[in-house]
Amino acid sequence: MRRFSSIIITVLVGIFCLLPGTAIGGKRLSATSEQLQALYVQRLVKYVSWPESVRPDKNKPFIIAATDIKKLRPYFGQKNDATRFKLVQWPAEGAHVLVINGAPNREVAAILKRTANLPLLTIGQSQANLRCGVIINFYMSQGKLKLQINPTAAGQAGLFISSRLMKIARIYGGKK
Amino acid sequence: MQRLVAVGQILTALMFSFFFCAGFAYCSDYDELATLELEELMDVEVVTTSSRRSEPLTQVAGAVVVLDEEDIFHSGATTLPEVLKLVPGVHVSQMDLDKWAIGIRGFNGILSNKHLVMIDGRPITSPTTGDVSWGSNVSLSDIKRIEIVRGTWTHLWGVDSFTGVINVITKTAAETQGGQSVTVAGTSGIEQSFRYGGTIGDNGHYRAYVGGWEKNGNWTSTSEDNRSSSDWSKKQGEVRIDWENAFTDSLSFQGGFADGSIKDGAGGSGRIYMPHMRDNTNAFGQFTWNRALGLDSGINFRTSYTYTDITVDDLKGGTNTVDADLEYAAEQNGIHRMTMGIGSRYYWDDIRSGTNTSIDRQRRYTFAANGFVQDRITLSEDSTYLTLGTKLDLLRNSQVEVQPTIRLLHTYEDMEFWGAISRAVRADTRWQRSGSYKINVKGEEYTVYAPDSLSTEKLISYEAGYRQRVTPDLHWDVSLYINEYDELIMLEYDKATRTASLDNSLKGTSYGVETFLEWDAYEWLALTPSASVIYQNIYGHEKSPLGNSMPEEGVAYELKVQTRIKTTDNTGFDFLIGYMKGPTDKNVPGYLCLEAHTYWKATDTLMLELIGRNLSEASEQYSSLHVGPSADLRVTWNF
Repeated sequence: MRRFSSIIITVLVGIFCLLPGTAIGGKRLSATSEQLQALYVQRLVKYVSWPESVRPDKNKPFIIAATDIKKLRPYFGQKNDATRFKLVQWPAEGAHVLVINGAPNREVAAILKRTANLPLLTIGQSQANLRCGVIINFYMSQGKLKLQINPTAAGQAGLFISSRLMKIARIYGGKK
Repeated sequence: MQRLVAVGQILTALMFSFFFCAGFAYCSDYDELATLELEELMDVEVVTTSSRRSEPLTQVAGAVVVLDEEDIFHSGATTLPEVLKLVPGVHVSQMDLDKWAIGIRGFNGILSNKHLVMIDGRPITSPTTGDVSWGSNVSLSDIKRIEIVRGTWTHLWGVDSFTGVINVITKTAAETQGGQSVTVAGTSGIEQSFRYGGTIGDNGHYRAYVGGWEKNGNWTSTSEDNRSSSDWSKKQGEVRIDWENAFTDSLSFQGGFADGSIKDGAGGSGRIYMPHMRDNTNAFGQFTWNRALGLDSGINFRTSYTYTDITVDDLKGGTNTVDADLEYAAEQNGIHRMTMGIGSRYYWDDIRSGTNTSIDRQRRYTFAANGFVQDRITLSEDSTYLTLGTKLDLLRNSQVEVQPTIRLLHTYEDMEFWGAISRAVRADTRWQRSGSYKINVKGEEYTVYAPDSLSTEKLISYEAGYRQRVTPDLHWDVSLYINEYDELIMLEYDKATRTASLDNSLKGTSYGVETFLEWDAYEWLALTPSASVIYQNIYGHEKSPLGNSMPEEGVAYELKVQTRIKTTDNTGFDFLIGYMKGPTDKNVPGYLCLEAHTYWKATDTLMLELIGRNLSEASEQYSSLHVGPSADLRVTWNF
């Protein structure tokens, strides 16, 4: 009995010793690139305004299209996401967002050429995508995923980017 | 004792706490991430997932294997046919110094192979004889991957691809920048090549290649036959220019020239002719334009010109082929994904008959055209696909052949099941319909006459397969097929006149199974065991088809194990051991194959390899010539 109680005490002391370290030091969060992209997409829609004719009703989900749906699927449809977002494979009718995640540059260029004047928030992940007219681009900086915004492309698509998003992102001013 | 108990208690506490906290942290990561605002996401560190090596195509309803640069390197091959030995169901036998008998699912005769071989989409299977000049094609260091399709895919590739397709994809000019020197020297001869790649403006790249060899091979003679070919010399050059902008188009031009000679010993084939010096010149040019139209969608146009010298005994001449293809791959539209295309080929030659071997000069021009359409229908999202397709081939004499297929693929977690039924035809070659030559059958000489009245060979193919990624390090693939043949071309013999003529009188069924495992057992050890078995029940008017590399009745099989051992980061050892029994000539006994390859990456730019082939024994692989052991040193220097 004495031995059992000493084990319990030891375990509790051990946990006690380790927990404060986490609380005091602050846990450094990490995620996979795909997971982070999914989280970004789910938040970005709050900072973009679509024309009234295509904006989803309050009770209807945003339609998120992706060129490789399999990479994003594990990070959608969890908890409240299922009702707020509908993830579909590109090409798709009526999509609000297009995530370009895994397609050759020339195919991306062809897609962006076709969708340039549509109210579609295009999100890419390379400088080549940005040069071809993607509206938001992910880029890596010191091991973290950051955002670039192409306001010209957004204007051509008829989308309005909030000032808050413009403040935290790097603005792309190159030729489209 | 008490101290030990105390230490145990502390360790227990630490382990328990570690797992408890780790589990807590894992569970809380998603919850915490889900609550972060946009600005906070920018502080989350990205972790990468481990990448895997290139693997067989997993979304194809067919038996497809892709060999990548790593596979080619570890094979230790110095020629393209040696690489193909890795694939179960592909029969590779060396007949002579510059001749290989290669077949897919049977038919590995030098003049009766029934598959299509392409380099970057350009057919190199000869429209004249149906064979491939394996000695004059592509530098192995320029190959990016080789796609081997076993089975009937004539609905896409047409009448030349009766039993399969071998498509060699070379690296782009952008992927071969800088200089490279490759030297191979050893018992089989010496070979040297140089390659240099550079840029043209912002979006263009080029590469140029020159090379040559002097080879005598590794042949051992028997007392009955000592006529292997020798003194094979070759010089060749190639150039490739690619242009790709940041937008939708890419353009590519390739051109090449090869010139060589060989002392043909006339012992490597069943035909009878005198040993002689044979010159050989080949040239080609190809232009490709591709425009992307969307996701996995685009238009591709390809046109090429190929010149090939042909020499059979005292028959000599040159053949010319111009072809063009236009393909359109549509974007996914609902449940449909359409692919369609048209193509044409114009062939002409100037071949001068000899005294012993001749060919009809009246039919020197051939025009053929084709069109195909394929629809992949998604029956169940991400899991079940139905493919319907057909090709129409317009052959000589305005004959039209329809070659349809129906294919089903079902995927479930890491498993894939597929099945297919296809109809295929194969047209006769210029040589089969108008050539005359002498052959040796069981020691007797026959003169073969072509009737010029042959119809197409027919095939109904039933295929099924299963693939599974059992663990991240273990992949299993098995394919089964039943091929029902009709009107296959065979030789009919007249013993009285000692003549033979070609006839569409051969028919029958072949049954086969091919399987392989890819197992990365340890970080330093990878194993790829494979097996293929084929049973051919093929018969004609004669009791059993004879000569001119006809398929033989009975069972043939190949068992192979490829092993890769990585001894250090810069050194390794690979070997292939197998038992080979070809499906075409039952008079050639099965033989043991043992090949070894070891490498040392001396610096970032210098690679040394020692390559040994046929190390077990000198053996007949197809012809009566014995292929002996060889050892070569290969030095690759990048600059």
